[in-house]
Amino acid sequence: MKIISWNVRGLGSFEKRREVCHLVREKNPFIICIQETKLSVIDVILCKSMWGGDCVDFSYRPSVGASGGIVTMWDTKEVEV
Amino acid sequence: MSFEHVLVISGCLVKNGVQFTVFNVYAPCDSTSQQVVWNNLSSRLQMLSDMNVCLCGDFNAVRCMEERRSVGGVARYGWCATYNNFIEDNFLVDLPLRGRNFTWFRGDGNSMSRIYMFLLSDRWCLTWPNCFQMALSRGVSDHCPLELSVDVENWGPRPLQMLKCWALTPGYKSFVCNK
Repeated sequence: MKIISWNVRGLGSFEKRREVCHLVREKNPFIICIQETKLSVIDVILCKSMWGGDCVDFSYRPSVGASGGIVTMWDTKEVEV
Repeated sequence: MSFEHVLVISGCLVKNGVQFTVFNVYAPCDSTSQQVVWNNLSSRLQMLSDMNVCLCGDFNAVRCMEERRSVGGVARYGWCATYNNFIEDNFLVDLPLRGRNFTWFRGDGNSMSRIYMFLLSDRWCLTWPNCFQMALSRGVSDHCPLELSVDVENWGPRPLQMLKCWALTPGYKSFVCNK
């Protein structure tokens, strides 16, 4: 069981998404909790691209204007929600 | 399930069916709004007593003055107290941080704090007794990613205790060999 938590300060840029992708690949977490996405919509394509695979599900709260926003993603092979 | 500033997932591990709940928290900066979040969290946590519960995220609060360093301001004592009350009233455990002393750094290098952490329920610590929280390298954000790791298999070597004088007892050596 491994959980990663990170305040990314905005998931809009390609660099941040790539950083999340690296973190997932390097650490293999069961669950990753991200704060301050600054995104009003998060879709399955974005999550799969950050997770680097299809075995991911997610839940999120949209940002209010350009601030806040949280998303939790988990490995569906390890965790059943 | 989610409410303001908090996202909650409840589930179980595929491998062994152990159930757990994870709260992803992004608390506001001002103390009045924070108190509302602590109250909302407390009422949810009371419903989950004796469950495997983990809270993680950016709490925008520190537990004591030593957890915040800045040029101009100092940590406001009252804020620490309300945050500590929240942690203690809900019997949450804040594990010692490995890797670094602080989890947030401002670009100028003079301001830093530990506003970012994992808080665990008693039951969580019993289910996974050898958890640790580790601050990873910072990368592109001014916040370090935090890792909560539960290495069930690695307990390390079993501690052994003996008194030197036992070796003087007749038959000691053969007793140990036979055991």
